[in-house]
Amino acid sequence: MQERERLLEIEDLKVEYITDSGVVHAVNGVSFGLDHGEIIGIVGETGAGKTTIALSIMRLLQTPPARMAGGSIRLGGTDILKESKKNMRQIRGKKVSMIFQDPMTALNPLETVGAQVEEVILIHEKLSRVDARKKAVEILEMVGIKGERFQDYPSQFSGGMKQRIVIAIALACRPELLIADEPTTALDVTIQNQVLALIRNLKNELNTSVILITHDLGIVAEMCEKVAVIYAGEIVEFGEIAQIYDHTLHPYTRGLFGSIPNINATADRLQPIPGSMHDPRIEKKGCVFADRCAIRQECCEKEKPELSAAGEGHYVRCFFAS
Amino acid sequence: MNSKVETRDLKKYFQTPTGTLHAVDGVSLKIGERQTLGVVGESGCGKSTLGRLIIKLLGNTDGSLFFDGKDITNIDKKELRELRWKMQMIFQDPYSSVNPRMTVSQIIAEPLKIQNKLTGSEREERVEELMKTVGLDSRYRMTYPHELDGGRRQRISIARALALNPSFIVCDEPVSALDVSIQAQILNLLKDLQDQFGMTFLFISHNLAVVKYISHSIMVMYLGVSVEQCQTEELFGNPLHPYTRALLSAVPVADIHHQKKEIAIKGELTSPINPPPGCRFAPRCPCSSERCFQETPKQKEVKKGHLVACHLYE
Repeated sequence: MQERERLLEIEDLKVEYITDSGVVHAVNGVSFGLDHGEIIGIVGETGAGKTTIALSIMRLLQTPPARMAGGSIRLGGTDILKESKKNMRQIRGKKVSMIFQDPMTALNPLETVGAQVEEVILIHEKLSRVDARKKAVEILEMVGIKGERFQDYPSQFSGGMKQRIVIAIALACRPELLIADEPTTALDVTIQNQVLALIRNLKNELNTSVILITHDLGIVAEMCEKVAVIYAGEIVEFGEIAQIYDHTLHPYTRGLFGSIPNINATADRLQPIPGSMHDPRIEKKGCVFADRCAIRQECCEKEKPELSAAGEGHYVRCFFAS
Repeated sequence: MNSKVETRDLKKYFQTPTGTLHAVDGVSLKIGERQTLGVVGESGCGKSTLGRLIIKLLGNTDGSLFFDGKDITNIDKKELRELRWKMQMIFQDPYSSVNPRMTVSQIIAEPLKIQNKLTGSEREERVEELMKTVGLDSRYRMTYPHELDGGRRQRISIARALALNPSFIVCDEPVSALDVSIQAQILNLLKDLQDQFGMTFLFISHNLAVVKYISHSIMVMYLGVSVEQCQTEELFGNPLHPYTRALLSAVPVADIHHQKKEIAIKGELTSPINPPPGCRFAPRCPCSSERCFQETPKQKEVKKGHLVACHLYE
């Protein structure tokens, strides 16, 4: 494989939410990088901080209640967290764009889908209306929406089609980075397949880098090259897909694999992770996963394990994972 | 084997401004005592409507319905009230299916209160017992649902469903809103409850892996009709209907060595409003012929216990 250039570098990102009942430590020192044309999966459960990371990259977090408590996000040389609001408007849509879980709410119901694709192009590119329209039609056709439906409204499309339109808007200006936050969770499995294939093809054709946020380990296996497993705002395991799936190290990652029924095997019994995620308002001294962990020892409650190398490019945050 | 629940050619049509919506269009099924029938299909295929018909939350348009061998298609209100003690439902969204203004113990005690057979202190004892059964710590008795996470909330609705010792429960996507680690806890709980109390389940889900894990037999639905029905191992080992095959091939598998044999199906679900004659799946089917667009295939037993509705197997 040829050497690829670094596109995104997140270092020690910390995000908090200030709430009436205390400070929620949503993201707690997350670092990872992404090359051009690479797909990385971020896996974790509700409240793990996946979406907060995505919205931080987009600078779409509302502050307050959110507070960027530290770290940096560098996208192709620019430090996103230090950019002005005005510059961010140039970056969003042009360099990085995001697709959301629910295509039903991501589109404006009162505007035709064509106009919504055209709008992004008009904002970011110096094109005449006619050319912008031409380009919008092209992009819609690329995602499989016929040009003659340009003047239709979102309500006239099904869920899968709407997600295609959302993807068309996200890709209209050929961003270098696409963040897909649970892009197929609201879709049926046969439609999900079509949308995933579309993202994969676009990545291959346009060399777009993709951050795919999902809770579905099956989708990650199909789509991603690298995986970050995130729990309670921290990366607990990071590595190439083969490392994570075939040499699973962290007890939480193992727990995730033990929790999903496999369609290819007959399991007598699933092995769920006991308990549920701890209250993110309470900062934990030791390992964030300790109270649900099967192999915890005394030191886990007292000291926080570092994310340390367990192999070439494989990192794990656990004292006893081996 | 005696069947606990049976439907014969069950139909439910809804009148809409644009025509008649065939939500459930002639479904026949049998669920054996202490068995779980999984119903899979994509959104809009009528699986939830089917669940509601069987538990009589909705009246059917045509066909008949049997419970414990008794025809309950046209029973009166009083009989239905008593029947409801035996059949319960668990809903998908644990956030909206419990009353936010009631405490956990009030929610679980509600069916007992309505049944009015127990005294106050007996009820409290029963609530305690139920909470233990579903794995809810008794310290949550006085808390409100919003203070608990999704998994615990789903445990509340399971405890409520169990309160009157039902023999049959319709579970409508009970784990779809939950995280995978919690999902596994709830699935194991449902399995244990079935072993412990000998209950019969109708388990509705869009997730094939989940259905495979929990069900003894499976029915695959497409646009209001059952396209395939058989034992679980048979369905996964020997899927016959082109839709079932496509569905199985589309599931992402959490194994990087899994060789995906993709059977792409074109387009999306067609409208269930005034459906044209012929097979419902024909417009998307990779194997469809002219006949499929003219003649509706009947569900036939092609192998012992394996029912398929497809012209390929005639």
